Amino acid sequence: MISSDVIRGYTDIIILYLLLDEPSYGYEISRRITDRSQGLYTMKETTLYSAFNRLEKNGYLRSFAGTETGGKTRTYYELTPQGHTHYQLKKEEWMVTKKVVDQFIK
Amino acid sequence: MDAIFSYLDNMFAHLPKTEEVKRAKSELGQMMEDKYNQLRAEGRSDNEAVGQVISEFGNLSELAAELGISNQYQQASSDDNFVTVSDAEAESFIEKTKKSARLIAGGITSVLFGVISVIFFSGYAEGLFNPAVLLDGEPNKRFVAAGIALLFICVAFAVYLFVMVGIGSEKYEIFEKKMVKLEPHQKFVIQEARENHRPLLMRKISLGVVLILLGVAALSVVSILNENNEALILSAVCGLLVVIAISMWLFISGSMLQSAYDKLLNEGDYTLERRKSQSVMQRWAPPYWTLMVVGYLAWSFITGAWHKTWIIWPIAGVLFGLISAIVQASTPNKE
Repeated sequence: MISSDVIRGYTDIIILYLLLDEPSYGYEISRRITDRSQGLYTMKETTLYSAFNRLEKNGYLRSFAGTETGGKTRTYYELTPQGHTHYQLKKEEWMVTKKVVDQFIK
Repeated sequence: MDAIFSYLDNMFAHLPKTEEVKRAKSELGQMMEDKYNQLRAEGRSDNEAVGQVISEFGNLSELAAELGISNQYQQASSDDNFVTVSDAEAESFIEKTKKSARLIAGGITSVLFGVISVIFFSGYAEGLFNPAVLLDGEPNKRFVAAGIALLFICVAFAVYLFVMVGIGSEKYEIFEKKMVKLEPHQKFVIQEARENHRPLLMRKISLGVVLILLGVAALSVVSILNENNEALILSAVCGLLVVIAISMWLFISGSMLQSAYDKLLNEGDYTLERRKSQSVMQRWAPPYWTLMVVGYLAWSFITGAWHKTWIIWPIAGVLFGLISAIVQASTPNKE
């Protein structure tokens, strides 16, 4: 069981990662988080929406109304250039964090 | 599926209708709908899908800053009249209530069984069923003693059950006095559980009332038609008590669970002002009932009329209800 306090700092990097290649919408992102983490972590809807909101306000994401092929209209999110930069920064930060914490794990 | 939208409506009901709030609601609704449809497509039942979607929804306070509602959350949590409760606590409180209801109903049944044995054996001792037990035309005291002994055994067993009710219930006492501050998803789940329980409660209450009425009717008919057949009348009295025991079981199991839900939801008898008047009655209930037990035993032993003295219980019950109602009505409304 993952402590929600620990993972909170990595909500942003998880979402940015999933949007690196193509735009996506709320539920699809949520499902991919569960799938990629092999069911070990499911992001709550409120956590996800709160992150979208914050990332968009900071200019890392842009939202637009899009339609799935043959589907209904949903709010899609895509990465802005600042979003890409932010992802790289967060990635480097995590590499260092991981290296440090690993020194104290045996 | 409707349950998901009513859940969402419920949570957003008290929020200001700003653009931000509307957008959050529609986005969250979209994600929940998608997840629900996916789960259904994977073969889950409607209930399972709704349950999972709601349990994975999260907590609106996470969005407080985005939605400009942070004040409301802080206000509620710093209020002295409120306690918060975790999902596990709420669940174990409901479980404990079910267990307590069984223990209390069992205790009352046990006491009634004791009363029945006293009535039956005192009649039996007088030779109502079998004249051969009479000793020189006098009542056979051995059977009276046996009935009273059974009463004491039953009362002792009931006391044991009542003591068991108290064990482990201390930590839930706070729900009696304080208002419970629920997270929206908890409120939703408990409301659902209460609504699901309501039809069962209604059936239990009406069945109990019908049983008691039938018992009273049977006793009345028997005593009018067979005025001189004491054995038959005595059997009808015992029958009525059996029926009362069954009805009590139904009433207690149903109403205790219902009031546990009401306590968590601060509804019914557990709104702020009712809680205040209730605490008055709670202080007076133990001495009141102790007095009644002492009165019952004293009256019975002094007169030896065990077949009449049971009347004290229905009267005491009605009187208690009446006093509660008066106290409730006369408690000043503080709002």
